[in-house]
Amino acid sequence: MRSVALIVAALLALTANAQAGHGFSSMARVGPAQFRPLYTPTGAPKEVALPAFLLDRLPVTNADFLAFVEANPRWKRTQLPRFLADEGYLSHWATETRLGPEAPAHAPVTHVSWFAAKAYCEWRGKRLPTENEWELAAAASETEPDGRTSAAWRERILSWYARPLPKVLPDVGAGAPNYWGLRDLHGLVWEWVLDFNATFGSDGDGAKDAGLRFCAGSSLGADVKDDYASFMRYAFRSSLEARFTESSLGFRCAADVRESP
Amino acid sequence: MRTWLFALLFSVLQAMPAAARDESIYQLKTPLRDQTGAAVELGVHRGHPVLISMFYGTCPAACPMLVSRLRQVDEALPANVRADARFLLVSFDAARDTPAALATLFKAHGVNAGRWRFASTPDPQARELAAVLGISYRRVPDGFEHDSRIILLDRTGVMVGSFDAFDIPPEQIAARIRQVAGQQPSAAPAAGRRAGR
Repeated sequence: MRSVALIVAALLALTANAQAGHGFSSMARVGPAQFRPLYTPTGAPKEVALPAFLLDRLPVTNADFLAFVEANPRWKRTQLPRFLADEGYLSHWATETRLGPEAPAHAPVTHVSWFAAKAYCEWRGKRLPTENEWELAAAASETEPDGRTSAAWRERILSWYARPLPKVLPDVGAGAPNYWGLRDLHGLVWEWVLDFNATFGSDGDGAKDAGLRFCAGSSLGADVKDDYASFMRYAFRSSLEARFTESSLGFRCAADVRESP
Repeated sequence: MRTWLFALLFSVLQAMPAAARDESIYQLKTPLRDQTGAAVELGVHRGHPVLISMFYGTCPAACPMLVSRLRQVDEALPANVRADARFLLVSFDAARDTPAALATLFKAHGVNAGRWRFASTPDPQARELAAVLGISYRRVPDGFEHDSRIILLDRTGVMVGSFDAFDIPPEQIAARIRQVAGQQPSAAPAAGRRAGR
């Protein structure tokens, strides 16, 4: 009887460890905060009250996503309809279920569409962060919740954006944690958010000015004209469509704060 | 000789297509509640060519114009295609666009109850459907901002056309519907990756 109890305890411990990389213990609490996004629609208040939320400390990795694909075969790259992801989907993996040398297990997963990212987060009982949530989390420097007023901090991020993307991405977690305990929001990959085309809309046919595509046609004014790195992120996200995949685009998951875990 | 046979076998295997992906958007199974109060799924018009778009009921200008545009397309169709085609408008605003509100709008627009349907779906499904259809929208203080895309689905629910409602003349959209109505169902997706990549 005691050996059965020991075996059960060992199995529980093993599964607990397996969950450690992507369960709720691997998330940090962010906010609550009065957040001033770079862009707000005309007529809306300049500050948004964001309740506290949980955000993954690290981007989702190739190994994480492989577990998802193995458990949900319709998300294999040979199975998924093209309206849910373009032909670049998981193209850096050796096969539909084997990572291979161009997709290190602990590197951030890329070549995933918004649909795939969203499905992964939902499989984990989580969700994608909203644009405001992600930007709030990413506005933090190592010591301040809002590092955006520091020219030096803004310069550092901009210099990361100037670096070419390596063909094989490095492992997650190398960056220092920010004020909230999150790593790699800058300097590794761009990240999907739930409402990625909420600010400008998707410039799908490339011919129209952003903002004019909307029937109400309100103009957006950037709040801090010097924050070019933030502008680049908004511009990048607005160029996306939900089915697009990119070698530089990954994601992490968020969750609502629950009173009891 | 054996090398040649292997090479031949290899090239034949390479040329064989992978199992066809199902490109029908009806596999989303988006739940819809329509202007009659009926609970249906996105695939309710399977078997017919469908023009689908998204709107919201309290929209002051663009949405009424969108519906007018779709009516012009409807009227440009020859009688046999007209009987076959279906028009589905899905709201972004499930909270306000209840069946009763949709019914009022439906009546106000005077569209054919046998071939047109106004429906709404909860927020997460609306977001997913808009993303699939390529329709951008966002909430603003007094409603929504959104673009005016109309998407054509073939009889199996595959997207075979996407039009800006106000850029493309109704006759052109009607011509495309006639083509699709005359075709076998398509397995290929309409949109490849964006140009230039």
